[in-house]
Amino acid sequence: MKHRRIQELLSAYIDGELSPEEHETITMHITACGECTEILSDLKHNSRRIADLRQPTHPRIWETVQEQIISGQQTEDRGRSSRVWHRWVFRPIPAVAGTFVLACTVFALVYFNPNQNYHDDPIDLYVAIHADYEMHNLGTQNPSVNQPFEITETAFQEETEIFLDAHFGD
Amino acid sequence: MVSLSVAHFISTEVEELADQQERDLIKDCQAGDSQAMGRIVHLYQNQVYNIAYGMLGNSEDAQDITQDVFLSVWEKIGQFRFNSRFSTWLYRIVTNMCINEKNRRQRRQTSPTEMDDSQAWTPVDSRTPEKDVLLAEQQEMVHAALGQLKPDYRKIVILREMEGLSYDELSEVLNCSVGRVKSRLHEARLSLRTILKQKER
Repeated sequence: MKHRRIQELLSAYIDGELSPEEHETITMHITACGECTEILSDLKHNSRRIADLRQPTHPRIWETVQEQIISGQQTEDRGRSSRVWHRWVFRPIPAVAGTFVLACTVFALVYFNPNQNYHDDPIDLYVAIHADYEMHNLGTQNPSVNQPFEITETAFQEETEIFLDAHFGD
Repeated sequence: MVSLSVAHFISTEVEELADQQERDLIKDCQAGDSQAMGRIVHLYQNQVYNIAYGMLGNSEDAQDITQDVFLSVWEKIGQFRFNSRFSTWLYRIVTNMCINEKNRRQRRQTSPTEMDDSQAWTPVDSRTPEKDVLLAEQQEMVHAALGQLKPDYRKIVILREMEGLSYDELSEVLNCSVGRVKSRLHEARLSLRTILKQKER
């Protein structure tokens, strides 16, 4: 084994992580190589110096941790109910689905409401009068079409005047 | 020869029993038993503290990180699936938290004037008054040298020298092959040797 390769294995040699053959080869080499002997000695010495840095920790560390666990649990209990809502509101799929269902419900209520009186809105009233009038005129031009409303031109003009007075009058 | 086999058998039995007890403790913790967590803290507090002390070079910061580590363990213990040793899982948490803490401190300290790693490393030893001054100086120098190592080197050296992890355990904690552990540890030790030699001059 080459000198360079042996140097690379010196750490594993110290740690007893080599095969018996490798261990034997390096032991033989060290006896004859001053450089490797010096490196080996330094590595062992430094290992001991680092191991000597060990010291016991504060004996009451668990008590401190326990206090934090207990205070954390109390905060957790207080926040649990709000977190349930938080989870539901901020989960993307239920949030999107909920919004969609809500939007559909509102649309259905507005669009299919049988009690809706479109005459409440003046613009709707104006459009409705025009529609009725057009239907009436169409009915007179084509006898096959039924005439559902008896709206005369005079009545239409009266209604139009009421509308214009209401919105554009003094 | 027979006595050696008997001793090996007994030590294996003791290890298995300890493993089983630790497993039971972890399961109790996962069920929310804080007393079981207390026993785990007592089992591992010195290891965790010493890794943190080696990584951060400051006993007060190491104390704080040790508490944070056990709090984090308590919060995450439900995620532990017994796929690895508990100690491996714990050492990963410690080393990651220390590196994060060190990076956070360096970001805070390097502005507006840049500081190098050795300057940010300020070992504080609360036992200094009771120790021989020369020994304290030596330890301070070793700490400072550790602080000048690259984070990866520092981690592997501390786990090996202070906690005595085997190469198999190191490969689990560092998530790399045993061959890589072998070469990285040697590079780290040579790097530390160079730094210490410079300091001793």
